[in-house]
Amino acid sequence: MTHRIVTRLLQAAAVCAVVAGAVFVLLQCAPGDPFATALEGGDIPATVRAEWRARYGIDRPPAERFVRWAGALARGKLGYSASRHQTVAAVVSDAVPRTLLLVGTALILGFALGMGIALLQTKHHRRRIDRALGVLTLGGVAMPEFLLALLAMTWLGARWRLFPVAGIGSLGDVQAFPWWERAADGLWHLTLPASVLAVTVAARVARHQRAALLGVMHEDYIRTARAKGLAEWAVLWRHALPNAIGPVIALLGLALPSLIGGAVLIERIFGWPGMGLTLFDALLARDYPLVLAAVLLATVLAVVARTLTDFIAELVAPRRAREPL
Amino acid sequence: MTPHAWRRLMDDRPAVLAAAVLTTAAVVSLLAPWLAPYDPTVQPDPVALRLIGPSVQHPFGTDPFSRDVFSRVLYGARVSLGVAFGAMLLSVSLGAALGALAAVLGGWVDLAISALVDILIAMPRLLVVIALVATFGTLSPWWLVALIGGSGWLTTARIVRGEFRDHLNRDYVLAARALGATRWRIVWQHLLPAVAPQIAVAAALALAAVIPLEAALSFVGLGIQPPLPSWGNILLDGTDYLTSAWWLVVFPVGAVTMTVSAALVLADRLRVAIAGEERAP
Repeated sequence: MTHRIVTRLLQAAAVCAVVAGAVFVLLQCAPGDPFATALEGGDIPATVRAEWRARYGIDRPPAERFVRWAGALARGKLGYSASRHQTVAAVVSDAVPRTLLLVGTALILGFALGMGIALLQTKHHRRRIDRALGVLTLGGVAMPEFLLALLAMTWLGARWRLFPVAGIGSLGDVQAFPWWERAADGLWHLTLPASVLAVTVAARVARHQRAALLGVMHEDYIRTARAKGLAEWAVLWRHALPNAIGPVIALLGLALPSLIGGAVLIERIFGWPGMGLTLFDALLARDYPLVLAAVLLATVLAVVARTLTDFIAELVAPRRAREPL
Repeated sequence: MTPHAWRRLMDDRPAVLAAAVLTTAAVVSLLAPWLAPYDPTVQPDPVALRLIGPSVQHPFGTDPFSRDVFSRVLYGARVSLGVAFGAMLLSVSLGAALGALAAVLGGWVDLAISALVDILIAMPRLLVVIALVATFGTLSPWWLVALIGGSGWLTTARIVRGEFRDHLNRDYVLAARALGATRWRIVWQHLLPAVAPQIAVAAALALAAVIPLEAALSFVGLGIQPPLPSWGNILLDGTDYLTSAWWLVVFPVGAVTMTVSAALVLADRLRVAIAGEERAP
């Protein structure tokens, strides 16, 4: 166990380091810099441009800038965002909690829903309800999050006006309202984006959980549990589920990078000002320190979450988690 | 794939249905010029004919530029599925080659490839591709194929490496080696055909992953550029008219969802058909 933990942690650190290097190299190949649009084309003399580039260190050779950037990163400094006129750390510390709120809510909702569907399907294996839910979950897996988001936005948001279609709140001066109204407003705005992500999570979880449950249903201990007169729900909940949940948690960890990728689009569609939207804006503005920080953070988030789910899977079902799916 | 597994697949209704959907989509995209009632890029009357709902003349309605959405979806299939198919081929052959190399050569090659897979698989693929496209500016469809395909080989490499390692210890490989077959002859003549069904599963899964990726890229304006239609950028045209023109959203969404679910079902049933083979004595 200790060996596994150490290996995984080292692996996670290596991933982050490699990603940081790769993103930096990539951005060096990109044309333009933050001052290309702001300073060129007008009547600003070349000396002024050169001075601003020098002030932000953009005129230094790439290798030196990478060392400086990595060194600063090691000291916890992410740099200055020229497009937001803020430090990257300030931008990120606003955006990351919002993304975590969105993805976290979606994960919890989706996991619970997916498990429920899988249990129901297993209980009624091969009956009509199993088939119907199977078609639904297939649709949920097959329909990319952003398409579902557009549909939800069209009908639930724009046509029927049940939910707001953009932003994280509609109360202007936030401090003037009592906290419960602020919370209710936030929840109301969270509902659509989080539900859309939750549906895709639920579909994936349901399909894998159903397969895993059916895999253990013919085991001896299930027959024993039934023979001693347990209700089918109790058999499923207490005997089948604990033995079938490990691989699903591990698999969820593997699916997390794509969930975070999906969240990027969802944030853009719903104007949710988390890391995804920040990344888009930063890319358009060629705000490299912010892009670097966003991609790096998304990867760190994915790696941390994956490592965590691995450990959880191991704790929940030590034997099962190690078996390949 | 053995005749038995093939037979099982042919008797499996969902599998046949999924294959039929994919074949239809492929045929439609190949025959788009003959099937489409209108030119997908021509804008006959951007004032009088814009945003007309589905009718007999325009089964899927018209878009804000008065173009026929049905024709655009048909031509879009050509672009979207073309890019997806190309990217799938690239990622599967790359993955199969690297997975096979890792398994057969072993040693540090295996270590290096496996480490690379472990590192890259942790990165959100969509994010990486978006960052790449955004830094290099908009790309031609060929570059999209290269980029999407080049970022998707990890799963295939994992599957192929695992299967190859499993097969390398089997008796028939030992027998071939005893007969003096070279390493690459064994790979080419024995291992690849034996692992082909699993590669087919990986290919179907890759297709299911790649179609939404192209749609997402085009939807955020980084993929296929107008006036060339793709399922993603038809959606992009529709985002400003969500309340008034539902047909701009529903039809491309339906096209993507149908092809992706067909690919997923095919992968799933193929796996079942092969697994039946493994279980049989």
